[in-house]
This record gives sequence, structure tokens and C-alpha cells, in this order.
Amino acid sequence: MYSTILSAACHGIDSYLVNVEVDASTGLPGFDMVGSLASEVKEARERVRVSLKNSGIKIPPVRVTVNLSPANVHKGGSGFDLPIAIGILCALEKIKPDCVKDILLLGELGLDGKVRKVKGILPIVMEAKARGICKCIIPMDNYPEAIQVDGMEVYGVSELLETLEYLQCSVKEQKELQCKQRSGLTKKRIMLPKESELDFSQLIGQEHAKRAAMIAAAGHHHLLLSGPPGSGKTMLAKRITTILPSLKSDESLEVSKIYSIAGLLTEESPLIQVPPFYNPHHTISPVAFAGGGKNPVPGMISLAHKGILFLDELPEFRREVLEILRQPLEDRKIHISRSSGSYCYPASFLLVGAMNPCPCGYYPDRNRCTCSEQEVKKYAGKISGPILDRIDLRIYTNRIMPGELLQEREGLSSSQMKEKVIRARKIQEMRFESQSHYNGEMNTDEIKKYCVLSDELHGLVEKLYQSLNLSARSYGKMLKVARTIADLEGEPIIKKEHLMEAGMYQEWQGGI
Amino acid sequence: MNADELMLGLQMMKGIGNVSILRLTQNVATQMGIEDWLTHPFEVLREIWRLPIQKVEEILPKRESKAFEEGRKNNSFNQILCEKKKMQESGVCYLPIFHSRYPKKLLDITDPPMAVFVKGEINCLKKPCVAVIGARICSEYGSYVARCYGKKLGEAGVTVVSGMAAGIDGIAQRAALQAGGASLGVLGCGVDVCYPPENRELYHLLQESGCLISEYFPKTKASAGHFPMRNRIISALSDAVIVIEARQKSGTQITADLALEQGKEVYAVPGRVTDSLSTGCNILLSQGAGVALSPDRVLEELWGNPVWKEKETVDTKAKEQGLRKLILDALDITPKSLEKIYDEVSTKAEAKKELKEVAAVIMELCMEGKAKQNYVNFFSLKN
Repeated sequence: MYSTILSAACHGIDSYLVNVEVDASTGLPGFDMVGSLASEVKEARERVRVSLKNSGIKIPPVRVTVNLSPANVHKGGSGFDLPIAIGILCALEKIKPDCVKDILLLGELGLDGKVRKVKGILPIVMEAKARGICKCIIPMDNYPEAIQVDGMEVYGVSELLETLEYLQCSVKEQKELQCKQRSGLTKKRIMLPKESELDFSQLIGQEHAKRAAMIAAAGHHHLLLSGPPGSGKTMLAKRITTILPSLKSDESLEVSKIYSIAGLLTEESPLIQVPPFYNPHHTISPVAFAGGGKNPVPGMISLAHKGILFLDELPEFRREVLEILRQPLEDRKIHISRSSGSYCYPASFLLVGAMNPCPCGYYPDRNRCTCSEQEVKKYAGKISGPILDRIDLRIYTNRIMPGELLQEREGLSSSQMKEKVIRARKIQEMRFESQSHYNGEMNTDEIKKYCVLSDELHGLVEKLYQSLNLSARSYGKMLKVARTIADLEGEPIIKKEHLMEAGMYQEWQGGI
Repeated sequence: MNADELMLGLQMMKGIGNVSILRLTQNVATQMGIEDWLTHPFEVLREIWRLPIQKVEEILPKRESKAFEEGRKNNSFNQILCEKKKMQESGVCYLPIFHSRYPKKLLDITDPPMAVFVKGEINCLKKPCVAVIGARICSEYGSYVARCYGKKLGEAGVTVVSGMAAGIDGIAQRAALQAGGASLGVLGCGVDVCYPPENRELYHLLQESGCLISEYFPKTKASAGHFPMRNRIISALSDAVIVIEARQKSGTQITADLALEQGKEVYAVPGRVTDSLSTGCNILLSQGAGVALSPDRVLEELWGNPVWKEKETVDTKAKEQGLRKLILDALDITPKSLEKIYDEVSTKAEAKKELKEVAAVIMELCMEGKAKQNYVNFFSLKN
């Protein structure tokens, strides 16, 4: 007999449906699998065989042939175990073919007949829904993330036999089982993301750096902090997430998809709702940073999608790692081409870099810093021009004196700053008529259109240029930042003070 | 073969240095009955070249006499001429100690170089010369003062002598040249080598409108051992030495000590006791160095120059009002961060000011050239 079961696999961030075709016929007993398979899929043969045996299901000595179609696409992942097992049972006529029609099956089998969790459930269920499939059976461990997709009948299983029982039920009974499962979980699920303990009011002084952080968050401008050790660069960067608006539902699904593929969604947080924050160590390898590998997984830059990628000690990162940032900073996604295929992961993050101004860390405090101008230049030069090009804001954080730590000072709190950021973002949404386009991402045409300067200001910009010794590339950046500052103030047009302040954040090219 | 070429030949010998040549010349001159060999260089040098090896061994230690013998064999007449031609082609002037244009001031020191290599116009040495020296890694205060002294000395027609190094030296020399004055760079490498490379622009300026001088052969690379030797020439060529900024135990200190030994006037620019870059200067002051209050005063003390008159201080702050004045008051020559300026302004201001207002005004002041951005958000007053 012959049977077909519906399953799916991931390719990059997207997924595609796979038909698991199983044939059981007389002949020399054996188990063959075809269809361009990765080794973990080929190993399914043993898992399925033993798992069926240990579940107490007797398989007569027949010749089993499994084909995963489309046969020309290389398939990886461990999710095909369950559909193959069910397919065999179906081919042996232990299950009626009608029972498995239009049901998507996915799950890894253990030798004891248990069903284990697999990666990438969320994008697969989303794809299935888009293709008009409305029922799926997935591992129980993946249940919380699968039910995030509306309009999909999901049933979570933890054992192979449980799957059989469910499939053999009538439609009405199946519905009841689903409802029971769902009500059991909703109670657990209503856990809101933990209120963050971080707050900008914990930062002492550093008001100018806080302001820069606010501008960065409001207009999606990449930020570079430099300053001596212990000046609060890391503290500041970690708190930027607290002033970012929480993710919108479509953004949240998109981010969760990436996490699903990386296998990072947990039962407690089946959906990512707060902007993620990632700070990879500077010894990170290019593959871990960009994504890829034999079985492609999203890298750090994709995990920081819609959130913050914080690179502490920026010049200490390997050059080839930093250069990876070029494409994602421009296109907000990354293309990875490997022999097994080419993948595209979204990577629209807010880059926050932190660095010391010189090898010893104390420049321009000449009482402590003994680095020559040459050394300072060399250290700063470790970050290539094209990367600096894409960083709109630069700020120097001061060292805090012990006395200042004790002083009582009132500063902006995260909630106050977040309010301003949200207001500025609303203005931008109206301007670009888009939910996810910000001032920091404007191209040259948009700059011309939205950053209109009066004649008087035009003259001013030129003067500013000469006196600050700005580079040509700073021009666009300055206008973009000025636009965001104006938005933060709620001003429809850019004014002189906005431009002046924006000028201060530019990469400064001075000599001795 | 003239005296210059004979001297060049001697200097070209590997392993024969200043001391050996001095010994040879003095010994030979006494034997010949000449009191001062500089008056009869040709005769003495010719005698040295002809000296039998036994005599050389009497005068020089074993190693040096061997080197002398080798050098006499290897350096043929043609090679000397060839070297001379090369120097002429690259515009390097060879001035041996007995040459009429050899800087006479160098003869006063105990170990004058046997010859100097010059690029540029050496006549600037005839004017009064003042050495302006200081640390390579300098503070904003140091560079401000160096610029100020370089400019004033240049305007007053004084030649600024220094080492063309990074930091204070280069800044002072550049300022002097820009003010239309003369400057002389004493190098620790060949005069056709630009060291440090980042001062290439200054190197060319000095060639055109100043002078470069070195005791090392062209193409000699800079090495750490050369610099203390060079420093003795800097102090020897100058009438006075002004130390702008120096750490304790630095090359600048060595120059100052040499200057004192040579009997030159030493001035030091006072600094804050907390600044490690001013420690050297303050120590010099405590040892009795002149206090460099202002370039005019130093000039007046040195030459009683009528240039000196009470400077009318043009107070740029007087006309300013409100926030602009508060900010200008808060600004200093040493760079301050925006945060600090804001703090100072807000303690003095009557109404509460916001950080962004202060930032905007500072940038405006920068644009007008009244303030200066030293680093990303560090500002100082501009001179």
C-alpha cells in the first residue's frame, strides 16, 4: 500500500511543505529512504523502527520505501520522524488514509516512542496556514509557540501512541481533545514579560549620553559610545531596551520566527514581545555572528532583529566579523550562501557600539593617557570607514568621580524617555506611512524630501561644516539626526538648535 | 682633494666617530706644531690620511685604529667624490667644523659635531634663536601655549629652534612659520629623512622657509640613541630654551639640563601641580629656571626688546550676554565635557537651562571660532 503524509521543513527563515510518501510492499524486507536527505533525516529510519517496536506496534517484514518530495531540495531537521512513522502505519493500513488527510505532522521520535520538540515550528505553522492547511499535530513541547498562529487547529502530542489515538478519533472527539489541551495551557500562558529592573534613572550624570540614547531609539540611529573604562557605556547600552516601544504583533511574530528556527523559544516565552538585546563577546566567530553553519541557523545579528545589538569593545572584534555588518546595516537582512543553498535572515537591529578612545582608555585626559596621537588614530582606525559611515551618533561618556556617585541628582527615567520616543516614532509612522521605517533609515531622496532646510539654515550648515571640519558623509547623517531631534521636540520643521545639536554628534575629524 | 673632502672621507669610515677624529686631529696638530688645527685644516687632515699605521695605533685604541686602516683602504677618492655629488644632488649641504658657515655656536660646547648636514637656509641662525621644546604627547594646554609662543617669537623675528618632533616641538615650529617667522629643525636622523612621518608637511615647510640640520649622514634612520645627541645641538644653537610641557624624566628634561650645562637661559612654562605633564616644568622652576609668563616678557628679559608693552587684553567675553556668556565663562583652555559645562552653567544660571540648549549654543560658538571641539563632546576655548 501507499500513503502520503503532509510535513514541512525550514529553509532559512521561511519554510516549505514536504510530502512524506511511504510505500510498503512485499519483497525482501528492508527500509529505504530517498529524497535528498541530510544525515539526521536518514537516521530517522532507525529511530522510527525502534520507536514503533517499543510502542508495541508490530511491523510485518515488508519492504518500506520512503520518499520526501520535492525530491530535489536538500532536507534537514529531525521533524520527519513522526510523519514517517504515521506514514508507515498508514501504508500498512493500520490507519485509514482519510484520517491523515490535510493534517500537517511534525516531530522527532525517541527510541521509547516519545515525541520530542523540534526547531522552527512557528514559521512552519505559519506557512501551513498560508497554504490553506488548518490542522496540525506537533510535539507537546512546541505547543505554546504553535498556538500563536490564529485559525490553526493544533494538537500537541508527547507519545507516538497518543498520535495514533487522536487520529483514530472522530472529528467531534478530536475537537474536544483540542479544547481540553488549549484550556489547560492558557492559564499557564498569561505570563506577561517580566518588568525590567533596569532603568535610566539608575545612571548617574551622563545626561548628554542619555539624550543621545533617546535620539538613537527614537529615529533608529546607530550609536557609538566611546569613553574611559568605568564610565557607564555598558550600563547605558543595556538600558536602551527599556525605552524602545514593545514589538507590534507582526514584528513580534517575525522575531519569534527567528527564535523558533534557532530553537530558543521556551514554554515560558512562546512569543518574543520585548525588543531583544544581544551583546556577543568580542571573540565571536564570523559564522556565529552572521549565521550559517552546516545546518544553517540565524546568527547573533538576526537574533537581535528589531532589538539592540550591543558590541562592547568594538575595536577588539575581529575585522572580518565587523565587516559582516556592512550588508545588514544597509539592507537590514543578511544573505548567506553555502553549498547547501542560500539563505536570507532578517537583521534589522539597532547597533550600539562601545569602545575606549585609545589603547589605555583615558584619552583625551592627558594626565592619565600616555598614548601618542598615532596610537589613538590607529586604535580608532580598527573600525573601518564603511561601518563608521552607517553610525549616525557618536558620544563620549565621562568618567564619574567617586564624589558624584554619592550626589543626589534627578535625571530622566526610562518611562519619561520612552514616552518621548513613542511620540517621535508616531510622527515618523505618519511621515513614511509605514510601520517600520524610521529617520535613521532614510535614503538620499527621502532626506531631500523630509529634511527641508530654510535658506538661512543652508548657510549655517555650510559654516558648521567648515568650522567642525566635518566629512562629506557626515552631511546626510547630520540632517537625519536633526530630523529626529525635531521630531522628539514635536517640531514640524528643522530649526537651528536641532541642527547644532546634531552637528555635535557627528564624527569629528580634528588634528592636534 | 680639499679639506672638506678629506673630512668627509674620514667621517665615512665605519667605526670612526667624533671622538676619534678629534683625537687624531689634535695629536697630529701638536706634532706639526699647529696650535689650533681649525686654522689649518687641510694640512692636518692631509697628514692624517698619510699617517703610518704605527703612529695611528699610538693615538687610537686598537679597534679604532683597525677601523681607520680599513676605512683608508676602502674609501677611495672616487667614493668620496661620489658621496659628495649625491649630497649636492639632493640639496644637502656639508659643513665641516672648520667651514666658514659652520654654526659658530656649536664650537662652544665640549663635544661639537665634526660636521653638520644642512638642508635649507642656514642664515636664520644669525638671528636671535630660542628653542621651544616639550613633550611629544602633550595636553591641550601645552599645544595652546606652544602655538602661542611659536607665533609670538616668529612675529618678533626670533628663530624658533626645535626638534621637529610630534607634539610641542612641531606645533611651535609650525606656528612660527605660519606667522612668517623662521624656524630651524634639528633632526635625529638624516636631513633627507622625515621623522616622524606625520610631520611631513612641516618637514617640507622647514625645507622651503626654514632650515633642517643634522649631524648624521643623509639616509640615516632615526634611532633612540640619536635623540639625546641631537638635544645638545638644539640647546647649543639657541640663546635660550623655553620648556613648554614636560614630564619628569623626559627627553625635554635632558635638553634643559644640557642647556644649563652650556650656560643658556632656561625658561619653563608653569603648570598646575596636578598635571603630570607639567611636573617637569614645575621642577625646573623650583630649581631656578626663568618663569615663562608670556612670550613678550621672555623676549624682554632676554633682549630688552622694545616689543614688550602691556598687552591690551581684548576681552571677547565682555560683549556677550546671557547663556553665551555663562558658557564662555565655563569654557577653559583644557577641554571640558559637555556634561561638565552644563553643570557649571546650570549652577550659575538664574533660570533652569536644558542640556540641549547648552549644546546648541556651544556648537554655535564653535562655528563662530570662539570655542573649539577637541573630541566628540569635549570643548575648549580657542586662541
